[in-house]
Amino acid sequence: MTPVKEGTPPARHAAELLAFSIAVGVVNWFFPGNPGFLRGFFNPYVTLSLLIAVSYGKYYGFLSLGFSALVVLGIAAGRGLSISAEAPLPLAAAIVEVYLLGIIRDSLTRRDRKARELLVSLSRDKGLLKRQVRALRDANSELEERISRQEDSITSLYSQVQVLGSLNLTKALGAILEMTARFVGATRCSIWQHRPEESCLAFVSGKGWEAAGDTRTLLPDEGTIEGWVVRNNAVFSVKMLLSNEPLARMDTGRNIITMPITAGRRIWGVLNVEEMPFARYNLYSERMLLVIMALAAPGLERAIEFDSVVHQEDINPITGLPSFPELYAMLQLDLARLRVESGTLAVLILELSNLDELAGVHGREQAMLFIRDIARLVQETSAGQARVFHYKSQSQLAVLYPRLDADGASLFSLTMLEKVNSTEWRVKEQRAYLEVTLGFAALSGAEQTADELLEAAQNLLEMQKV
Amino acid sequence: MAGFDFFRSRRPGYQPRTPAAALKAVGTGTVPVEQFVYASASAKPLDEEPFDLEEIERVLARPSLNLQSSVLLKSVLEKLIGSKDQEVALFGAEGVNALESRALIRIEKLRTEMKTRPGGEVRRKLAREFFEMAELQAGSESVRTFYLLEAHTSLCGEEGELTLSRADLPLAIDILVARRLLEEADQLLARVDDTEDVEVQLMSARVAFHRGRYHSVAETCRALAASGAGVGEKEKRAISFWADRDA
Repeated sequence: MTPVKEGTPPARHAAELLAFSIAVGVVNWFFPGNPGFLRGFFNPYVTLSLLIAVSYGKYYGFLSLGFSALVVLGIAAGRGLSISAEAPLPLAAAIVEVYLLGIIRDSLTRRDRKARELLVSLSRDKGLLKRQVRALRDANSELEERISRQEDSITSLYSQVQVLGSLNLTKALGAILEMTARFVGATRCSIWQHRPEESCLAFVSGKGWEAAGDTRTLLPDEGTIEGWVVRNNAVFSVKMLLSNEPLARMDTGRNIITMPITAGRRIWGVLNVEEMPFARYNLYSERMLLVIMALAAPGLERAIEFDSVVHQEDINPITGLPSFPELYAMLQLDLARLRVESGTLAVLILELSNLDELAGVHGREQAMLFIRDIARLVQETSAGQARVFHYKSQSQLAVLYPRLDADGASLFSLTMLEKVNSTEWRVKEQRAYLEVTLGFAALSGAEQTADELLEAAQNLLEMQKV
Repeated sequence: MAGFDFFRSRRPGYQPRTPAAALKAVGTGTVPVEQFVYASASAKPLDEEPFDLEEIERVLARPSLNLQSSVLLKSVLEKLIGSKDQEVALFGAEGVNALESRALIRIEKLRTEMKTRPGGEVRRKLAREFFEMAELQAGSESVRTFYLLEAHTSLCGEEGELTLSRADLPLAIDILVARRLLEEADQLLARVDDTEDVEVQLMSARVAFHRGRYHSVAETCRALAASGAGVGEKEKRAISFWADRDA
């Protein structure tokens, strides 16, 4: 017997119940002396009704009982028997039992339905909660990522400002460009130093220039936006082209935002933003740049002052040649420029091996004058192209020779050695013999640092000594 | 405030190191929800020196990093390659390799899918992967150009024979702007029928900006500002900046 399913038509159930009652009646037909099984303890009709009441509910139990009564009446009539005296008591008991069992069944069914509804509701809530948790986890992951990549955080700004206090001009300029890239989103920016004596602005540092085709590293200070910014100590923003005709005439598509860089009371140079995303070009970015420049100003001013002091103090009083720090700073600036120009540069290191010997014979000052003379010989041979500096020891000179590749440097080295050896060096009519060894390195296609270039030249110099 | 009681009453015990671990611990009732809030909001920026290798490793382990995070992570890993500590340098190199291999595996999968199920959606996904790969190669111009070309070919076909749908347009413009093919980008936008589309107008302004046609940018932004079009916060700033005649 299957339990009643919701939605099943009552007529079908009624037919089923009738069929059951008839089936019991068919069995009862073979017991002619006991119509309705009223005699005895077990009554199949009542049992059927009770089972129906338990399975289908009390109303179907009563219906089953009714059908059974009709079947029993039919059998009694068919057999010509009367059951009116025996039937009322079992029938009344059956009605009470069906009713009670029906009530119990209904109560259990209600409780069961409620439990099922609760389960469905809990299951639905759980699914919803799972989806919410997944969404929250994703959102958390995204937020966490955003926090992790907070390139424009105050701590990052602080770290860069700290770099500005290092008194290293190259590093300070790099830090300004780094801040410009991070906080303004500049994909290409550069710093140009104003050289009033040459009436030009020279490229000193850049970011994102590797990808660009522009290789200009000198700009006139007249007729350019950079020059206008220097002369007027004013900020240029590309939106000004909409209303300023003279600026529009000067525009070559190179400037989006150009800001003056001040050192003390003078304009030292300009910061130029050449490329940035459209969505980042707004008032906020302009103000952010002003904030960066204001924060950078004290550190940058000190670095510029320090650089110029070092530049002035580091001239050897005897030879008149600048010292190693000057060489290093110059080499870094040259390398930054050459990366843009894709040009070449050679570094040569000359060593007067017998300097101490010469100093012992002719005195230290005279020995240093030999160094000065070698430097002059280098400049003459290079037709003024090379710049000579003192290297790490007093006996060493370093030469920066632009637009000279490895072959050219090799040839120049041989020429220099020949000239030093063929020159008659004299001190007060006394002949002196200078022993010069030489090492060189040229900038190759690969990106090289100043240290790498100097180390390569130094290694070759050491090999010459062996 | 109630939240601070968590710090005052905190007892020694399990301390989740990451926000994700804290979230799981909150779920099991091991730690209070304040621990998760604190851990989530205290994540250290990835590129803050000295670098936190554990944090970098954790972010690197995420299978689905978005483009901005990947680019930042790669720049940090490249800095690590230059470290004097050989182990750190190796970690940096392996990290870069992992980041790129992951993208290449995705590209290979999409290529295979293209053969069995060619369609606009897969084509767009493949082009997006190539474009993101190109953006990852910020330091190497030739490799970047190669991937940009692959992205372009995937989206538009070898000779531009594929018809672009409206959904392809933003990516196509991104690729053309990155390749500096600004005239082509302009021509592509000119072929769009719906000239009132806010996103299309913003793309036009963007291309005009990169072409140095500032009058056109200003005009578009003024029109957008006048129409009160619903756009993102960044775009809103740019629009109001250009639309303001006095600024």
